[in-house]
Amino acid sequence: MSQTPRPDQNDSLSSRLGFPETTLEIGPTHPAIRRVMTPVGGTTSFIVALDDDRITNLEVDIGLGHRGFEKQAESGSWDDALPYVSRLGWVSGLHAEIAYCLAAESLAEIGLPDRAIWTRMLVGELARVSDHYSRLGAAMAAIGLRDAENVANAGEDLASEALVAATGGGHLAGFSCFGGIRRALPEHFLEGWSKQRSLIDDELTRFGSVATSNPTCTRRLSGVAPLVPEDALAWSVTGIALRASGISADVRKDRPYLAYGALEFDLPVGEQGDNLDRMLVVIEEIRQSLGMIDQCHKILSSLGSGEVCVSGEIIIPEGEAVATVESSTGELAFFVVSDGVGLPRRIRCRAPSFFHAQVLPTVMVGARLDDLLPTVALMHLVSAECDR
Amino acid sequence: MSALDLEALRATHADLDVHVSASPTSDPDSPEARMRVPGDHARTLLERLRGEADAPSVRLLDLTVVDRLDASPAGFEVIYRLGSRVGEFAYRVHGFIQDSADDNPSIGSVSALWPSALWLEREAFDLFGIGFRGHPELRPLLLGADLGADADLNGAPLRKSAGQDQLSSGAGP
Repeated sequence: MSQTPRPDQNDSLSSRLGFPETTLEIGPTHPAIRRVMTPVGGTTSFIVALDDDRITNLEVDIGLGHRGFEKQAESGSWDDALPYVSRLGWVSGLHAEIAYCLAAESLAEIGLPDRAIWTRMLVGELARVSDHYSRLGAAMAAIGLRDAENVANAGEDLASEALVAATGGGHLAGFSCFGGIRRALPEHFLEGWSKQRSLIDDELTRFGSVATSNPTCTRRLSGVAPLVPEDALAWSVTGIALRASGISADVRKDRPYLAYGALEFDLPVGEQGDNLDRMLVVIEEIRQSLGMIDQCHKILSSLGSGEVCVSGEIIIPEGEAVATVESSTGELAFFVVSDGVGLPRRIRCRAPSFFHAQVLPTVMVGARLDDLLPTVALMHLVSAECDR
Repeated sequence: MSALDLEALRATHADLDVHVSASPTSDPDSPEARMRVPGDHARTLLERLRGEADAPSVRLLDLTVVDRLDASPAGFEVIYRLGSRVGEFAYRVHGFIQDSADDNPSIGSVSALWPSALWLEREAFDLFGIGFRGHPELRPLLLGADLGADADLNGAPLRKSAGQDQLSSGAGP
């Protein structure tokens, strides 16, 4: 009597059961939703083909926003575009604002007052701290570590509180303007910083005890979605994801803007380029940013009160300029073209998230579905930035 | 190469009809070399600038288009921003596509040189209606079938000729 051949145990369960390959569409959600249903919200959609829970194919759809940001920016005066620019990222729009202002100021050949330079760096680093905490929170939510998520959220809230105290409006403050900043940092922020800083720092220590030294967390992140340095460079990946892959590149070090050349800080780099390395780089960058804020705070306290913005009308002459900053997500640049007629001819934003979305299939095919959202969080993919 | 040598760039690429100049950036210590080249020569120039095939020394940072149909000479500039690994030097290549009567502007694709150009070229195709010859899958990236086929946008909303009122009638930022 012949025996029915046993199915090959190496086959996936779905193929042994004769189930077809599954295709799922994850997202989009409302642009303002961040963590209600998924740790990453917004107008990005992931179309995933699955064999069991292994990803066999992935298409990332970023074409769902349609704010027409570049067109809008080109249809008004140069400073009309500023409110659109600061809405490019829900947590670190301040960096985009700084990049756009630097591009326009470079065209107009305006020198900034010292107070404006150091204040822009201070609020930029504060926004980075807040953004990085939000990424940690999103990643922890995605792997189901609620206690670690709560700690990261607490850190984000403390950094956001400081940002509101500093700018008066938090992330959408409209803080930078052509020629400087709209208002000097208030006294109560400068006086309260050291206390707030130690609270933010405490959350980082707490995060270490519930996440970094927690095997449940490190096992979920280790070896997941590795990006080798060659691929990172070929796909124009920047920011956390590039540094986690072992490449020490950061605009603040390599092509310092504002006065970053005068600041002391280290660049953490990873080795494996996996999610664990990305998380460790994020944590260390929060620490480095806090150190940078201290240095800016010291300089600003010694500068005292005075001019924060150049006075007089600013005319943007004919020409082209590029300004690049290291935003929380990566290398963010504005390329602007002026005919000298008041309306910009071209305003182009190089958004780091665009490239992180593009490389996602390279790192995710073969990985488990469960690992998609933590990777999106730790790669710093912000939907709003991909809008045109 | 650690610094930018404009003379050397001019001499090396003289056969491609390249016009080289220095362009100021926000960091005066690291200027960009601005290179204007006819569209048909752009890909050859970019391939040379990229360096060795197995160890490219130059990254593609960005690719975009500037509509200059109302200028003289009329056409499109396809702009490639390149940078070294850690930013010691940078190039900005402007490939100029002369306006022609059939309104079918195109330029050679660089997606085989840098995979990151795959989406960048799809975006430029989508928003400016520029073709990229040799792109393996030139389909819209951002606009769905309904928006892409909108006659008022002429399939290329970022061109200066495309209406702006249609774009602002939708949801706000």
